[in-house]
Order: sequence, then structure tokens, then C-alpha cells
Amino acid sequence: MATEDKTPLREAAPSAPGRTSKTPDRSKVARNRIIAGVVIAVVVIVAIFLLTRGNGHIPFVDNAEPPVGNVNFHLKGTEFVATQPQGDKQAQKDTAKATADEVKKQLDTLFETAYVDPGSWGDPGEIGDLFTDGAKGQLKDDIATITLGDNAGDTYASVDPGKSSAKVRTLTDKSGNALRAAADVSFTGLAKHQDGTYTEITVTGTFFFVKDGDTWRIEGYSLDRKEKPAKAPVPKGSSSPSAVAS
Amino acid sequence: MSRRFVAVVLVLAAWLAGTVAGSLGSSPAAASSPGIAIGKAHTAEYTPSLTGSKPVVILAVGSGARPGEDPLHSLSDSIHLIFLNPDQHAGTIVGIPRDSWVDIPGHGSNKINSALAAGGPDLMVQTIEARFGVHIDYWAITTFWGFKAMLDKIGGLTVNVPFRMYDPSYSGADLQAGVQRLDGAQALAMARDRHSLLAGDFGRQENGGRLILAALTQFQKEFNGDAGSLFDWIGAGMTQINTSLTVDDVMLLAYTATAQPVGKLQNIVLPGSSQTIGGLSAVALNTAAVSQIFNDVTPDGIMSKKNVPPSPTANQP
Repeated sequence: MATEDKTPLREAAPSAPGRTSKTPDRSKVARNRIIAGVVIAVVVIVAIFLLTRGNGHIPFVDNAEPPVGNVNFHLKGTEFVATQPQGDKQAQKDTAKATADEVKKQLDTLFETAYVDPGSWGDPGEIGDLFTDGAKGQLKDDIATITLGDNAGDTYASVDPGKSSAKVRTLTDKSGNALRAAADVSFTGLAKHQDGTYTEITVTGTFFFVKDGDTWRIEGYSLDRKEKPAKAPVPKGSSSPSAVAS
Repeated sequence: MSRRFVAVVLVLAAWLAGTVAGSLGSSPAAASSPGIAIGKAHTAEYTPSLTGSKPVVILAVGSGARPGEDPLHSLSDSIHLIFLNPDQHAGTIVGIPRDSWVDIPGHGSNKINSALAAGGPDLMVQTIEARFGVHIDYWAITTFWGFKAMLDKIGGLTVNVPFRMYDPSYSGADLQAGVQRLDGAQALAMARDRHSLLAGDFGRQENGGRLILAALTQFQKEFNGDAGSLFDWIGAGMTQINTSLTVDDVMLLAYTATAQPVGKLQNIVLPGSSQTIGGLSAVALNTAAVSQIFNDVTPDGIMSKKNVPPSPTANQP
């Protein structure tokens, strides 16, 4: 009803000539204002993105960031350590290589779960299966090193994995069976904090693995975690190289 | 509708403008100042460990076998019992003079070092258990060349040589007193030398204990610098030692050793005197003192200070 009332009034009613002549102009002005508003909004959004390099606290800008990557440890060395004086060297070498590949997968999973995936970081329960029962019992005490930390979500918004490497040594018997493995690791990740700042997280040290059925579990570790200020990364598509650390 | 839309756009623009103003402080330069402490660091260490108040006892023997001889059936040159109390992280290294006159089950009385030649590690264990009333959990036997190779493989051993040692004719020892890095041959000479020691074989057994403690010290230092070096030590040891220990046992012992304070290990030698027994130059152990030592150390692996015998090299110039 309201619409029916208004439409005739607009089309036929004006009594003053001036007003009659202005009707089409007002419509144009309104359209121009809408266009201008949209343009302003778009300009403002682009400005925000450029000024903050995508790091502002604007929800839809944040959501537009690329998803975090996967942890991928680079094997920079594999070797076997013989426990018996004579043995099949080639078999032991092959075993060391195969063991390193399996250990690498465990390391990828561990750091992906403990440091990168916001759904599981800081939760020792999520990584428990990667550890022996003995080591599992210690996880809670070492949560701030083995994982991003307790209540990590209060501090961190995301962690983007950087270059990570591992050197894996395998204890072998003379037949080439793997008895234990030790992985000297270096994990790096660029952490974005809830306040918009960045830090580079580095975890270095050694994991000791023992074979348990078909899988390798961590039975010991000696780790050091450090964190230092870092620059914000350059958005993807930029010609500048991605910044990692200051 | 149009006005509403314009209003919405303007409100949105105003909100965005406010956000821009707010986010100006979060420019890349500002973002490089994190809200957390700089240099924040955490460490985490865990290794499995032996547990229990009952001591673990390991018989460590240096076989006197020459190349071509069976190291497990030769006269032993050095004999040590290593007691470790896991719960108290303490223990005792007991050196047994190789010429100690004892009963060897099934073989009459003889020097204790002949037990290995007569019946291998099992008889050696049996002889010591019977004489001293101690239960031995594991044995480990190395050779002269194995000992040398083992130490060379780990890059030598830093040892505080307690006094000048010079024995060119037998062991080849030619060492000045003081802290120094010994290669495998030098460490072996230190372990074997008895001719330049006033206390002879008693002093030699004590030096064997000193080398074990030096090895533990160095092992811990290297482990703390590079935990993965543990494998190098295990590899060096396992390839040069015959032992009843499995790799799992060795791993557990090695992990335990990483946290074993060296200062809580007492190095002693069973007291006695050199005598001629049965026409042979042998050691008559001080029965009373030896009984007191084993009564003290056997239950928990720890030696009471009051029962620690005098160092046989205390008077060595």
C-alpha cells in the first residue's frame, strides 16, 4: 500500500515548477552517491590492505589470507651407526635411508599438529601417539617446547612453517635392521600474534625414536625453542621475496 | 532503498576509515615489535631412565688377549664392578686386583683373572658372585685394541692424569700429570701401567676407575652439546665390546648415564697385600675390609664414606 501511494506522488504530483524540473536530477545525484560510496568503500578496503599488508584486524581481510602451509622437513643427512663390528654395509645404508624417510613423516606430523594447526596446537593429547608411553607422561611438563604452548590461541593467530631440516642417524645391527633412530632437527615457523606482530619460532635439538611395530615413536628428546621478532611477510603475488625473520 | 543503501555504504565506509586509522599503528614497521618477550626460550629434555633403589651391577673387564686370541677366554687384565643406584643417581666403582687369590668354582683356587681364561664370562661372573656375595646383572668385556679403537672413534678422552706415569718398557705410558686429551693408545697405556706405580696393580685398578669417570664426564659434556652424539658413543662401544647387554639395555644405561652426577660415583679398589701364594705372586685381599665394603655397597650400590678404603695411589709422587 505504501508503495502504491508513493509512486503516483513522485511521478505526477509536484505543484511547483522548480521541483518538477529537479526530479530527474535528484535521482541522478542519488545514483552518483551510491556509486561514490561503493568506490570509496572499495578504495578504503584496498587502502587498508595496502597499509597493513593484510595484517589489519578486519575480519574479511584476515580471512582472505592464504591458508597455512604444511610442515615439510628437509632431510639433510642420513647415516647409520653400526652396533656390530662386521655387517652388510649396503643393507645398513638402505635401512638408514628408509628409517630417515619414516622418521621425517613423524616429524612432519608432530610439528604440523603441535605448532601449525590451530585446531591442535598446544594440545599434548593430539600428539601423544607419536610418543612412547614413558615420554608421553612428560609431555605436559614440556608443552611450551614440544608444542606452540598451552592456550597458544590467546597469543598466536597463526604459524606458517618455514624451512625445517633434519639429520637422521640410525643404529643398525649387522643384518641391517634398524634398532633406534636419532633426528637432529631444526624447525622454523613464522608466528603471527593476535596483536598483529610477528615472531620467528625456532625449535632445535634431538629426538630419539624407537621402533614400535610398524611405526617409530619418540622415546626421548632434548630440545631448545627460541623466539625472536620478525617482519611481516610480503603478501603473495608481490615481487619482493617473502620475509621470514628480522 | 537507495538512501538506505547509501547510508549503509557510508556507515561501512566510516567504520572502515576508523579501522584504517586504527590499523595505521600496525604498519609493517610497528609489526616488527612483538608483544612478547624478546629472546623467549624454552628447553625440554626427557630420556627414559633406569628406576629403582636396587642397584644395577655391571662387571667391566679388560681382557688381556693378544690379537688372534679369544678375548672371552683369556686372562683378564682389569676388573671393575660398577654399581649404579638409579633412584639416588649414585654409585660405586669397585676395582678388583687382577691377582686376587680366590676360589674359582670347579677350578680350585687361583688368581681371579684366570677365571675368564678357564670358563669365559660366565665363570668370571660366577667366581665374583661367589666370592663377594654380589649379584651381577651384566658383563662387558673389551680388549686392548678394542679399548684403543673405541677411544679413537670418539676422538680421544680428556683425563686428569693424577701423577707422572712413565713405563716405556711395558704399557708404553709416558704421561705428564694434569688434564689432557689422550688418544686411544695413551689412554690404553694409562689403563695398563702398573710398573710406574708404587701401588702396582692396586693403582692400576684405581686408574681404570678414573678412566671410567673421565669417559662419563666427557660423554655427558658431548651429550649436552649434541644429544645425537649418544649414538656415536654407543656405536663406538658396541662395536668394540663383547657384552651381555642388549642394545635396549645399552640405550637405557646410556640415557641414565646422561643424568648421572659424576661426583656421586665413588671409585675404590679392594684393599689387600701382595704375597706369594702357591708359588705365585698374588694378592691376598683384606678379608675384613672387603666384607665391610660389600656389606655396605651391595644393598643400594652406594658406599658409605666411613667404609671407603684409602686410595692406593695416595702416596704416588
